[in-house]
Parts: sequence; C-alpha cells; structure tokens
Amino acid sequence: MSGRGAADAEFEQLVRASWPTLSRAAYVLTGSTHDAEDLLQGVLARTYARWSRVRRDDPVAYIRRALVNAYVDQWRRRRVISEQPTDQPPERPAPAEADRLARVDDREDLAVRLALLSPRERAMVVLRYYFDRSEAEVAQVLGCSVGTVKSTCSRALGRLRVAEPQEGKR
Amino acid sequence: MNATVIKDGIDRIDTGLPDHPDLGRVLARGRRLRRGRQAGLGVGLAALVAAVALPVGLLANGDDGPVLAPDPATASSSVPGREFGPGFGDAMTATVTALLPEAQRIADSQRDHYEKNGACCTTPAVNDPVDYAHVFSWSQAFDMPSGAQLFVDSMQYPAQLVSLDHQCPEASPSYPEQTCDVSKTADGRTLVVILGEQFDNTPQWGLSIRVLAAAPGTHGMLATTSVSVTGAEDAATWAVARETLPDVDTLTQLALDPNLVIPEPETIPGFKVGNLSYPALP
Repeated sequence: MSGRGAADAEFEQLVRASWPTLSRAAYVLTGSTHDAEDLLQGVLARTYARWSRVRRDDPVAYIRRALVNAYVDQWRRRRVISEQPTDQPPERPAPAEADRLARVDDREDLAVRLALLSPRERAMVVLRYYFDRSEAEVAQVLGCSVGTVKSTCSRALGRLRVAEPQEGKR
Repeated sequence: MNATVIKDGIDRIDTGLPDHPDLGRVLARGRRLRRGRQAGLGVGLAALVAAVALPVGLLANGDDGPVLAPDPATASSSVPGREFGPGFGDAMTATVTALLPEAQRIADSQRDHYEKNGACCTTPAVNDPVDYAHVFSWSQAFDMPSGAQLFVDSMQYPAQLVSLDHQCPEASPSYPEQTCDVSKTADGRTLVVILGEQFDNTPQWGLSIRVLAAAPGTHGMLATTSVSVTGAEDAATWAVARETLPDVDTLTQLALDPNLVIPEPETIPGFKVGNLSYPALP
C-alpha cells in the first residue's frame, strides 16, 4: 500500500472506531441530528485535510477538541448576522422549553436536560465528563480559566441534578 | 449526578445518526479543502511577483462542499490603498483592552469568502492560510473576570444584504425585558442598542451595540460596514446579568471606534445569493 493509501486507511480506521463517541458528543452539543451530522462532517473533513500533521500526535484527542471548538465557534458566530444572507434581523429562538419537555419521555430525559444547558455548559460537560478531560485541559481547549471551568461545570451538574427525579420514587 | 451517570446516560441516547460514518463524503470534502489551501498559496505567490495568477478553481460536487471559482481579474491580493493583514487583529484587541483592560482574548477568526451551504444559502468561511486581500469579516471573543463574555465582530457587507433601517429584532411577549433603540450619530452612522437579549433560549442574557455605515464604495461597489459589540452572561435574569456586564456607554464607545472598521475588500469570493453577487451587477 502506498504512503497515502496507508495514511487514508489509518484515518478511516480511526474515524470508524471513534464514531459512536463522536456522534453522541456531537448530538449532545447541538441537540439536533441534522446539526450534529453537519458538525461532524466539517470537523472530520478538516481533520482529514490536515491528517499528515494530526496523525503524528494524538489524533483522537485532536478530533475531540476540534469537535467542541467547532461547535463553540458556530455558536459564537450565530451572535452576528452572518450565517444567512438576509436584510432582516435573525429569527429569535422559539421559547420551546415547555413544549420540548411535554413531548419527551424518560429515555430522552438526559438529552432534554442537556439541551437546556447553555452552549458553554454543554461544551464543558462533554469535554469534562464525556471525554474525561481534566479541568486544566478543558480550560485550555475553551480558552478560559480553570476557575471558570469549575464554576460552570458545577452549575451545569447542579442543573442536571435538580432535574433528576428523586431516588426511590421510580 | 456524577460523571459516570452522565457518561452512561449519553451513551444510551438515541441520536438518530447513522451507525457508521459516511467516509466517502468526508474524504471528498477533505480533499477539496486541501486543494483549496494549495490554491490560496498560489494566489499569495502571484501577489509577491506582482502578477495576476489564475488559481485552480474548486468545483462543487453536487450540493456539498465549497464553491470557490475566483475571477482571474480579481485574484490579485494587491488592492490599492488597502493596507491590511494579521496586524488588524492585534489592533482590534488593543482597542478593546484600552477600554476594558481586564478583557482576555480567547478567540480570533476571519472570513475571506462565502461557501455554498445547502440549496439556498451561502455562509462565510475562511481559507487556510487566510486570504487577507479578501477578508471581509473579523471576529474576536474575550473572557471577562466576572464570567461574562464579550464578542467583537467587524464586517463589510454587500449593501444588498443589510438594510440600515430595519435593525431591531421583532418585539415578542416572550422577551419583555428586551429594548432596542436606533439613532444616528453626529457623523451619520446608524447606532443600534439592544438590551435584555436572551440567547439560545437558556438563562443567558446580553446586550448588543451595533454601528452601521454606508461605505464610500471605493471600488465602485456599495457596501455597508458593521461593527458589533456583544456582551453575554449566564444569569437567571437580565437584571442580574446587567450588573456584571460592561456598561452600555463603554461598549458603545468601543463599537464607534474607527479602528474596528475593516477596509472594503475588492471582492468577496463566492458571494452569490439568488440574483445578488459581489461585486454588484450593473
């Protein structure tokens, strides 16, 4: 197998092995199957474009960081009228919390509660608890202080815990 | 609720995504990105030898991937009178920290072309390396010690996109705290101040100051400059968020600073929406 063929095979093998974790993380971050797929496609394509460099270090960690960074970058960009060319102000997000909760059953409970976190809280929950990164690593990836990571994660856990049914009532 | 519970819970979520990745699409798109970077480097080299190069155009593959087929007449990165490069970002940061010394920059990004995004639309994107000759958007994000975040965005819009008049979001009973004021500055710019914005339908509140102006059209095209300064804070109410956000007067002063205005590029590659394109059609 040629050099490029071997590198491509390596990339494909890594993506297939990481797919279940990456796809769930992308879904938790975006809250939407469609948006998760878009996010993943973009991140994986850019990773492949840089594969000769990425594969030298820790490619799994790279892709996970890239996924969260891409999501955060997308979220921040939505604050500016730039995503959709229009001469009208952007549409407001619908206040769908109540509707969303009314439609959800127990299996989606955690997904709904995660969707109710702020984008930054979700990014930190995914990095800290799903990807199992240290507070210092999370701070470095998101470009904030360790203190901010601690307080934001604590607040996110608190909000997830408050939404949990009490033990013994199930 | 501990880490194991969260991890196990996420692993059980039905995402609706396929069980296996579509590697064909990923590799095809990745190869296009690689070719795009090589084409960008070609444009830069052409500028160094003061020649107009014809970089390799990228073709769209179906409805996926970027469309970047620059007109060879506009491929030069040398625009008379437009001194522009990476230093603009440093100047932007310096302008912010001069007014808000405690702000810590955490993100810095540019946009230098538009890519096709679905059937209807295009979205701003950036080449690697950045094509500074065509940069029309520059954004930075800052962390504040209070936990708030500050976003500074400077853009050049084709004038067809943005009306200088309709800048306020639609009032809604769901957002009673929100106010929007539009006024003219002494030098004729449009100033939009939006307070009590709730972002992403979660307890995150903020305010936006936006300054718009009609660009002089130095390259024969009408454009609009836009500088936005947005402050956002995770808080239960707008009243709480307002106490930790930088004050409106400071953010307004920042938004009005001429150092934040990007000079107009000669073209914005890839910009085409329906019958609108940049440069403007006669």
